[in-house]
Amino acid sequence: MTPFYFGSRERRLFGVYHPAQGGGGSRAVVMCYPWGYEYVNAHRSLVKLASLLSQEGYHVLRFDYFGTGDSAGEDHEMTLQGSLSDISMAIEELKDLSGADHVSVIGLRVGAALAAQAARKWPDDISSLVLWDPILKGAEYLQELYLLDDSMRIPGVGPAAQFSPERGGGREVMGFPVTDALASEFSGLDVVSTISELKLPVFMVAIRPVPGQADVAYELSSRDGSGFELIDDQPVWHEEWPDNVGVIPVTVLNRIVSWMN
Amino acid sequence: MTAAELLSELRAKGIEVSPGDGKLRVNAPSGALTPSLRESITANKQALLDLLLSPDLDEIPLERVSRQDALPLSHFQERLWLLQQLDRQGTEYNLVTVWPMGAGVDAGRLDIAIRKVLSRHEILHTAYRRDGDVLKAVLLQADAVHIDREDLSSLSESEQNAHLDQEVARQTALPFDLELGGAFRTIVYDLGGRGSAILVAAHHIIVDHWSMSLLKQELQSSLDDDAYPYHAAEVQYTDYSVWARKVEQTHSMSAALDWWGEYLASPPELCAFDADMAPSMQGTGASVSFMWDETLSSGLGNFAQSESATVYMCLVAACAAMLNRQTGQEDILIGTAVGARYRPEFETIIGPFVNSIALRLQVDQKVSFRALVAQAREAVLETSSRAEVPFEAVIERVQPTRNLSRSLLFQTAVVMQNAWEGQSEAIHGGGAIHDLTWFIRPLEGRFVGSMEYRSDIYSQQTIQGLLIRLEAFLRGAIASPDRPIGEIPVYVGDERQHLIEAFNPPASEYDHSPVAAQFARMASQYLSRPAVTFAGETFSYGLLNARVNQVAHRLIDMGIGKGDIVGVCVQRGHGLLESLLGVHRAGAAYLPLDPDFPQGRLEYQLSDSGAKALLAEASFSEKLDLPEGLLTLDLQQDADALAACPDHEPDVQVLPEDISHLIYTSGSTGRPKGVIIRHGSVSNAFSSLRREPGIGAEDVVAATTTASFDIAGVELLLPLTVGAHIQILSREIATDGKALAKALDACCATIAQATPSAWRMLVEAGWQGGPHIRAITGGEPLTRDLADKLLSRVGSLWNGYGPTETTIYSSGCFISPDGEGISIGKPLSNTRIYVLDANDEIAPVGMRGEICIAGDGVAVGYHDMPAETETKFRPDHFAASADGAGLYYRTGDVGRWSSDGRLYHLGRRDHQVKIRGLRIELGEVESILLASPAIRQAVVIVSEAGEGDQRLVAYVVFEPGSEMTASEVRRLARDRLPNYMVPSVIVELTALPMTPNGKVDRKALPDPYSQAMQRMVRIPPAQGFEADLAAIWKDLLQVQEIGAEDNFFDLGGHSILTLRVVARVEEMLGLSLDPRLMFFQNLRQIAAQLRRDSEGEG
Repeated sequence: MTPFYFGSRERRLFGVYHPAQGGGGSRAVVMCYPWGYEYVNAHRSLVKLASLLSQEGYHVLRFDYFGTGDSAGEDHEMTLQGSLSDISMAIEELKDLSGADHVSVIGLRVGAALAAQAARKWPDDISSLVLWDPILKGAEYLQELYLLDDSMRIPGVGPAAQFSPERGGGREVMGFPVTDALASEFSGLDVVSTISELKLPVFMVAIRPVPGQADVAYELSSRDGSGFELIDDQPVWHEEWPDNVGVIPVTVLNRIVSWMN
Repeated sequence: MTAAELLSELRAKGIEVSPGDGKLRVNAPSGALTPSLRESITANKQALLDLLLSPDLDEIPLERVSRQDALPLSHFQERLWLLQQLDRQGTEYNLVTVWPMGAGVDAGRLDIAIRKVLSRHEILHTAYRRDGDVLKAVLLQADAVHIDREDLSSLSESEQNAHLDQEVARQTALPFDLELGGAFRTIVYDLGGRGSAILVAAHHIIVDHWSMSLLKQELQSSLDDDAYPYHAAEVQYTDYSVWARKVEQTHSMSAALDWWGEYLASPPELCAFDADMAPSMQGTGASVSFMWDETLSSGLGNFAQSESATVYMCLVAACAAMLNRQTGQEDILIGTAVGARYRPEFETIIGPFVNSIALRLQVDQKVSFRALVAQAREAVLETSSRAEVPFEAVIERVQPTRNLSRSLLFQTAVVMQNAWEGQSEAIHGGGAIHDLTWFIRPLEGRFVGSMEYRSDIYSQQTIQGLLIRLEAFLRGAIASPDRPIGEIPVYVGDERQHLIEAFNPPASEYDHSPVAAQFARMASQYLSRPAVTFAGETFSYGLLNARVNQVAHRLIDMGIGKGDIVGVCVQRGHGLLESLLGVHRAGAAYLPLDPDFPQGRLEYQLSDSGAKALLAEASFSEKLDLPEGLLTLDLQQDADALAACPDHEPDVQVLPEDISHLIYTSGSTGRPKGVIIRHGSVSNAFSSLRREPGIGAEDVVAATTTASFDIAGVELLLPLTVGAHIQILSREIATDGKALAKALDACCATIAQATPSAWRMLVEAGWQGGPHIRAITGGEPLTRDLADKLLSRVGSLWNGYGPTETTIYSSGCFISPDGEGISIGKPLSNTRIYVLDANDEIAPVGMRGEICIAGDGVAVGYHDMPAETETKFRPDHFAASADGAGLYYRTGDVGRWSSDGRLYHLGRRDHQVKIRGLRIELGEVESILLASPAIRQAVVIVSEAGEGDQRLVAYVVFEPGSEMTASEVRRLARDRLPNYMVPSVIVELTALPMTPNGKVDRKALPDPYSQAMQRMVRIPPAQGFEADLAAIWKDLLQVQEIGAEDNFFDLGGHSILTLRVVARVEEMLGLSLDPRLMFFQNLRQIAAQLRRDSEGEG
């Protein structure tokens, strides 16, 4: 694993490169992370997935969007639009690192929504897509975030912090700021229609049924080279203390790797 | 940490600790004494005092220890025990000898005598076993040793001797079982009238050579003296082992160990003569004997004396000198065996009292033998005063690279044996202990000895040659001790002349006419034969010739003529051939430009070369910043004008001395070099290649190489000189393994050329080839495994070698599937190859040097770089004829000759590398990066991402505050360099690792691909807690395989399951396990914690 910075000086992005093991090969995968607290919970599993893929002979690049993780930028500066262009930078960087002409993209939750948008925008660069429990309807996702945060009230501590307009407005969710702009972007996500416009092979995997999923599932299952699977496993982005703490959804990971192969 | 270890650590930090008045005095440089060190000193105060006040080596008494206690092994014995465990069939430590006892001793008496000796010396009936983690010596009963008896009385003397020889050979090859106590075997022979003889076979774990002499003496005493004691000797080897361990803890020993640690710090990884290794070589050991005449022997003795040195020191110096001359290594480690019988009491103990030490010398070719002997003397004196430190302890301190197939720390040893009293019978060893050991001993005024070597590393021929050269070297060195050692001739006979003349072919005749003229002849002969096919369209010889003429006329009309340079930047296809040959027909020289290169590079080449015109698509050339006045010609756009030109040959006389083309190669200082090649050189190369590897009119040649790579000439031009058919494949196809495989089959190519990287790509894409194919490979070293894969897919495989500066190829050969090392063959016609040593003299056969190439293939020089040209192109004074001897080109490649005149490539002298056959000066990439003000330091290396997959890795140190991202650095490189020279990975460092000499320590740079070569291997859990825990996990996780380094959650576990693991561990092992351990630790770590808990260490 090699940690490094890519992108431009103004938009320094932190990435970790896993070279393909066993050498050779120019199959490459960019991984798109979920947002906020989901990132924290899912991180370990995503590292494991990268490691599995690397062992299977893929060059893998994990990275942080601008304003998240170890990338430059403050957390309130993170936008979906900006993250989308970060994905493009990551793709270019991985092509340079690996010598591949195009890459596959694996996205989890919001990362999956972004990955789908990226595939629509840059079809020449992306050869296949894995959508892992993608956010299909942004508005519902946003509500889910607010509810989760509200339900996690710590006794003695007041309601969620609200941010000033200078800091983008909006409120805090599980320690991360959802600015007004970001909330608006989340609400505007309509991944169902994005997926229907895609021509490349898409594999969608989910650990539970959600609204809007059935139609997408049907469509993907009837497309050549694409597919949908419902796998009974743990929600990697969400920690249900103490039941699934530290859990790595091995079944899902193995399924993703075998679909990639 | 022991007191001794703490003391070493303190010393390393410059902290002096000394005893005084029962207190500990500490003297430390400011800042060195950290609080934790202070704590350690306080905690270990008494132990430190004890150590510092401890008695010295000589003061520790040698006492008999209780035989009831666990008996330890000496370090030497431990090492040998381990070696025997690793190779139970190993016999290199067998010592076997036969002693005839004479007519006066009958077998019966001998039997009794040996019995007595056996009971007296415990070591002869000791077993060595493992008890948990500890090795123990276990005393067996003396009569556990079975004494075989054989009655040979009925045999004749010669039959008896033959039988004995046979038995010696059998015993030498029969392994010992050290755990059973079988380290000693003996057979008593009844020789009838001749008396008796005894065969003794022992493992080095219980004897050394001295012991064998001792054993013989004891046997004699036992025979002669009725009062020979039956009981066990007072002090035995086992007591020595205990004593040795006490001694290790002394202050002087720890100081000596510290000294060794520093002396041998950062040892060279391998210091050995070049191996002959080939899979066909087998066996463990062999030896070649030698005997020096009196002149040399006495000369050596006198010289040693005059230098206040010993003969041994001179031999060490000679060995080091030869190692340096053959391998180029300057940091030399030579080992030797020293006796460890430091006290008089040891002299009568049977057991291995040997230690190995390593001598370190710094050698370079300019040093004189006299100076080298002085260095050797210094080394011997320094090390012998510290020779009692066990070799094993030194190894542990120094931590040399462990290579299972080579000797540890040093691979070459020089051992001076003293004439043995009473041991004139040979002692047979069962194999070679080191890779190479040079034994010498004085015998009646001369020096004799042998070279014992591992026969799976060296061939007998090599060793024989080595001995001859060592002798020649010593003669020369003693005669001129102040001469640089690099100049002392070590030729054998008329070797020098042989190398110049016999290894190089005599001058031969060839068709000097330029390629374009040869093509014209073929065109008139084969008018309608297919000449070139691209994208389904085929031009006949006649048509191609006509079009070439039209291009030539057009160029002439534009004002192009003799001596002009014309850039050719045309996409692959018919147009490319028309352009190259058209330029030739116009009398000019072409400059091939790859359209995929960065603009800047193309612009540089066009302006630097002084090109007068450019053949390229207008849409392409418009994007370039072309030099003023450069003429352009677009074959498509100007098609009408071209069609209007005459299609007969223009009246231009092209001579062999005229320039054919100018090709740019990577330059180390950042400036690419333009190599100027004459027509005559090309004609010579083609003439030779037509014969070998061979090409004819019936051949179909697949053309895949870019025109800016000089070997493309073999694909694009050579076929046209014989009437063959060229199938041009596009770049897209050529770089896609599967597509290329398909295309090769589809076009029915009979000849295909590619670099090893490209061949590997083809093989991996599943290409099957066919026996009709002649494969040519060049541009990069060919490995044996790839050669074998190709040989099973093609009819023949020809491996070519040669830099651009000597025209395409300068040597080559067909490769056979014989498992032998890959050679780069013999020189082409009218080509002479010299392997030159550091003094620019002919290196003897087998010795390495720089490959230098002379003959008709040598370029004119570098365009507009007179200094560089003068450095690399030197006058060839080796050539027999003085007239027009010409120049030789220094390739910078290192190579050596085999005795049958084949050349072997051994690497580079500098930082030039090849990736996928393309030459890259790492310095060029580095200088491009350093040109940025944000980058303070930059180093570029080649790393192996996978088998045959080499990539450039750049390490950069930024100016503080100017940190760039990897993308930005790469963009910088991409702007100025062709794609293949752009580093794949950019690693940011805060500082570059340096060697003690102040050079960048390239080996210490972190390798981003270091995991890339390993596939995940599941390490099986060890017996004990690991296995128990693994069984519990397996059951709960329902998983087939559990590895020792697996993590519970990685395998699919979750927190509830951890509680069940805890319950099971409690139930089955009676231990309490903290479930939190399972989150981040692996099986092995958790098992280790359980073990600690069970032992109450918590």
